[in-house]
Amino acid sequence: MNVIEVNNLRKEFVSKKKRVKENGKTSLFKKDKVIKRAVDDISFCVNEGEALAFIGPNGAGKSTTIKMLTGILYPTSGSVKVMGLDPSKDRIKLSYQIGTVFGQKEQLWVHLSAMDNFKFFGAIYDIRKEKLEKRIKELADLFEVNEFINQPVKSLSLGQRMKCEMIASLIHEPKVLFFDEPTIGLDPIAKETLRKLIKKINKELNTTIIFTSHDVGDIEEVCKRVIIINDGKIVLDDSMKNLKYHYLNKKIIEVNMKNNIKIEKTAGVQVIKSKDTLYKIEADLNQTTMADVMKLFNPDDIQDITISSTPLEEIIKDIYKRREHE
Amino acid sequence: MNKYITVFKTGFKQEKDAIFDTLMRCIIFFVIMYVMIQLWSFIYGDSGTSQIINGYSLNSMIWYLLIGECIINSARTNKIVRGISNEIKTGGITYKLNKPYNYYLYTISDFMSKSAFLVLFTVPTTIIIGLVFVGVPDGFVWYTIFPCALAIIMSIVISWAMYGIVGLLAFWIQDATPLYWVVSKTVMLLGMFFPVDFFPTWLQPVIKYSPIYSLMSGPASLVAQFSWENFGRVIMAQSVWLVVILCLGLLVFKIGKRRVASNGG
Repeated sequence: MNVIEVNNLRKEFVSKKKRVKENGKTSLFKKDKVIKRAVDDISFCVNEGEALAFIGPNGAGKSTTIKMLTGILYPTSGSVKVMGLDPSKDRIKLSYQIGTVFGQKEQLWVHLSAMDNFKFFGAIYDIRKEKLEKRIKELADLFEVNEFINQPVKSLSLGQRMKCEMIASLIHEPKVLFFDEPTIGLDPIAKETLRKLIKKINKELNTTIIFTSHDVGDIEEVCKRVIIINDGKIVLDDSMKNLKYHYLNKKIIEVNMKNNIKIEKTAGVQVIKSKDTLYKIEADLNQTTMADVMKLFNPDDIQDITISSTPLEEIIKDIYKRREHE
Repeated sequence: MNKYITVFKTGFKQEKDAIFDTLMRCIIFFVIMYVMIQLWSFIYGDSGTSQIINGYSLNSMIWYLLIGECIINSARTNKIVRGISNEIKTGGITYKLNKPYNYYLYTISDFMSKSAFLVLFTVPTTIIIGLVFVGVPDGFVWYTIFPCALAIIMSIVISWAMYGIVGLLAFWIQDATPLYWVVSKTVMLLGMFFPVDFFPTWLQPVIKYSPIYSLMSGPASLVAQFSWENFGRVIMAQSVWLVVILCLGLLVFKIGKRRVASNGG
């Protein structure tokens, strides 16, 4: 079942710029309309329980799309359906079905305790007292926040705050959860904890996750499907598995030899670095095979060897760049 | 309605931390009132209590000013205008639009809680200043406290609702602050500094039928010169203006929210 259906969605921002006259001077009063197309005719669907990464460089249109999906922004044209509702017409009705976590903007009242905050959000979502208490207990156990639940939010660490933010967003049992860079500014341990929790929400509560982040680690670990958006257009919509399979055809080989050697020019092999007996080469397996690459080195002279795939981050950067050139 | 009461209660709890700020405001309030009392005492001259200007004795005039200043100080309307205007300009409003409440009513409830906390300090300060400098209001009877309190509370609620609309105008104009200055100074000039009877005859009905009467002149004159007839008139005007302003605010928000432009995350 589709929980999100987006068809030919477009969003234009109109601003005004002072008119430049024929003599090159700027007009004092006359202004020209400037139309910036932030989202340009995109279409996609999201199934129930899916974990989707919605990524792109700054200004690509991902946050604008998320804001249209949550009813905050009105589309210029096209249609959006989230849980069967039109977000721009049924914003309040929809808000009971969705949750949002923004890494750069906290929604909690910082002078109050986490518990008071949860009760506040419970009241905002019209949850009955008994049900709310039960829900807070369940989520507090799941997120392991019992230790600091009665402390003022301002005294919590960023990681602890993010856990509380997530509980506040889950208090009304949303069917779809939007995460906008939730791990920004977190240390690696807190990041890891949060990623595990998001996965847990997705698996155990069957909540559909829409995730935007610049951290490829987040996306790789949490999401099974990726949509890459650039200049307002979808440039890739594929499963994480396929993305890795099709784009991970480049291998990085780092070899430490006993003696200096001369690496012969071979199609698909590029020497990235060569220092003393250390060699770092990139092999494009579409053009060559690993067996052929290994022939470049005498096995008896190899002291150490590491073969790794191109980091996903590089792949995504490559996709952005490639589409820009097209 | 329940959720807006919760917003009010939660905002009130959070405001407890601002006690130092509140106490400082009371000191400034005291200084302003001291200067005003000296000024009006000079105007009324040596005859003092027996002198009547436009139906107001020195005692009624000081109580009129005290209540007007108390309402302005408690409402802190600049905060709501700046708050809403900034949220619209920076796109911060978008983070509040995805919750199941009306942003306009939510903001009013939130800022009302800040006022309510401030009222706990400004009202006793007002009463103390009044009692120390001019004594109880002329013709004071203890039970008039309740209708007067109701009129003052209503005027603060109307202030928030009205200045909330001024803030919402940031959907169309770049900055609502200059507009706020025009509106607030008009209310001060035509409402706080002088009772309606001090103005030219042609201007008096304009003030009486405008929100200025509900915001300032009405409740202030009620405390200064209480009568049940005056109370009925003030409450009636306040009820009508509250409904009109709230409806207008909801309409302005409904139209304005389509103009939310928040590019980027």
